[in-house]
Amino acid sequence: MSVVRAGALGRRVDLVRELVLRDVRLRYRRSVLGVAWSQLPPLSLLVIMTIVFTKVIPLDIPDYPVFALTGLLTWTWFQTSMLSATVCVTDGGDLVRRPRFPVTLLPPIAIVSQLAHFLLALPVLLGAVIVLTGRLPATAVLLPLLIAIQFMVTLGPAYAVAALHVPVRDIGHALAVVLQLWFFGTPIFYDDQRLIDSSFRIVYELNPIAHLITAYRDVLIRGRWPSFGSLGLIFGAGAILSAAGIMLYRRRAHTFPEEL
Amino acid sequence: MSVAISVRGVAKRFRHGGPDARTLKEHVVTGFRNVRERHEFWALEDVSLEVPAGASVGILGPNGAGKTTLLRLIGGIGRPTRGTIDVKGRLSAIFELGAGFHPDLTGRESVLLAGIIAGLSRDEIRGRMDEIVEFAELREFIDEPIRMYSTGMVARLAFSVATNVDAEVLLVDEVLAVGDLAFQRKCRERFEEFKSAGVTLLLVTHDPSFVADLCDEAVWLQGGRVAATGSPNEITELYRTAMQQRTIEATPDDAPEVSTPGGATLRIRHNRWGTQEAQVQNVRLIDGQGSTLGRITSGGRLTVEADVVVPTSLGEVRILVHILRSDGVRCVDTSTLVRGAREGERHTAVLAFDRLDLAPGDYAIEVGLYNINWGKTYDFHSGVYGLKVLGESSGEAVVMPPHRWTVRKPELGGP
Repeated sequence: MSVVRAGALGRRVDLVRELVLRDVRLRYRRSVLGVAWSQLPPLSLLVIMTIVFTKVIPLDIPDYPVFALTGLLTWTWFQTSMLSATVCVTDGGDLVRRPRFPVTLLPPIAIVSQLAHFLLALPVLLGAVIVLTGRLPATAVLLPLLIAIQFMVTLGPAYAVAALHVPVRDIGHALAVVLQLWFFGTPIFYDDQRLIDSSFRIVYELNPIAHLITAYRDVLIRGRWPSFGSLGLIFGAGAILSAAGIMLYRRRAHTFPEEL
Repeated sequence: MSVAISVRGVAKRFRHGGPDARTLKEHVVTGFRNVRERHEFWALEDVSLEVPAGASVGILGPNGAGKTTLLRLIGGIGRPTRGTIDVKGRLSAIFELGAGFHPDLTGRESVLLAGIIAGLSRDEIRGRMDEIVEFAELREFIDEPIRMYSTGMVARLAFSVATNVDAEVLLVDEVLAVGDLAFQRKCRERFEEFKSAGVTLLLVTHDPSFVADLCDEAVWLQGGRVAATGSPNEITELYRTAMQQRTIEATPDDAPEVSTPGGATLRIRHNRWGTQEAQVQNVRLIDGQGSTLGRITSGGRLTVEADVVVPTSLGEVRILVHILRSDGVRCVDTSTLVRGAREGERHTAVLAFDRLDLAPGDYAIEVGLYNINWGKTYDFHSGVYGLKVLGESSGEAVVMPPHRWTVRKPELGGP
């Protein structure tokens, strides 16, 4: 055939773009508010937290709404990515059973689809930072780097849960419980320093999402450079876990068509 | 010649024994070992097969022979338990037409996605959108969600996409069973085009005539092994024999005898075969004057009427009529679709020949009822209905179209 083919990479890019669009389209098709629904859960939680932790049980954190929103959006991206990665194979039967479909793309696509919602909320967050703190620090240029690191941190676990949920359907239920505990163990609505100073410091140290949230707050609110040492460490750990996750997933992938 | 598809020593084992996805509890109880008894089933035992680039090969075989499993493995869905499969060239496949479409996406979105998965770029598939929609005859519906489509519409769209992605190797599983006759004809034409364009075709079908028309070679798959390879004619003959064998086995031992309007008696396992899940009743042969004596004059009118009892659960079935000369030569072979009807109701199928230009002589009419893909015989009457064609005998011909002889006188003159 004489037609010049799009390169393999170009094809992947097209495919990821189409599948992310498909994900977003399908989720909000036939709803009136559409994609606005993705913003409602974190925003409503934000309102409650702001009321509770500034009026009822004051935590004395300056600019509390942006402080909490930074934590919430970061967490929401991670949590929804994990939950949709869990079912990306089991709900993706129409794709898995297609010849030539690169199944390895499914977990990253789940993460990127959720990133779309994170990015949609970003203007709200940046606006709130400017309104409440009166400025947007120059350190905010590091946002793309933090997003890349968070993607890498999420990737390994996403591959693992996606692959394991196929033969053992308890993974989804178990993950919901784990994520709930994880939410409270992460300084989302309370100050990271409090956790570090408490006897549960280890919970903070071992939690990559906690480090990420601290870094997001450093660059957006506190206007200081994040700890590159800890970011490098979690990026490295994330890369190793991702490699392991992909290996596990690849080894199981040929059983997917039969097990769905 | 280079080889497009190469299958070497392929075996495929399926395990079943309840749902495959196990819960954590079961894993813990069994200590993560495969303690629970699992039935093993070898869908393919040892299959080797080579398809040269540009060839068309048809796979025939009884149900459960492993045809679909083999095609899927070649398509890269699942992995063989043993053996290797190599496919050279851009692959496209038509399995379970439309199974890959999400009901909430529109036709257009589905085409875009399917095209990209098949290996086209976004721009390429957009450029072909009109052509694809046109071929599928879905212009008005293309922006509706797939869930609004009928099965036939989904099948047309899936076929149209799969055959518009510049495939070099095309795998086809039992497509021609869906869609109306006009669309089936279009599909066949498209396959012919592919063939002349040098596309490698590997098809699984229940329709032997399709293999005979289109394929250079046929493979007979039985019990997960290649039982024979050869010319389409040889293999379709095998297929017919096996089908007959199966029909004989599926015929019940006992069923009431029935008299036909022509005065013959239908006896099960004698002149009536098939599972009897659906039945042909009261076959009438009517000549131009309305008499049902089973004789016409050569070139006269003939109407074959039959009542068809088909339970709704069977969906659409095929009714077939053969006219055989006394020596078994098949002079007429035609069929149409009949829908199932509610209990107590029956359709009447009417086959009208405005003129039947058969040579005078004795003929037999066979009437059969089959499932949509010819894979199962419900009812088949053979050696029951006789037809006498009257007229001046003229040797051993089959047809006797209207004709006239004249002998011109020699012209005067010349050199």
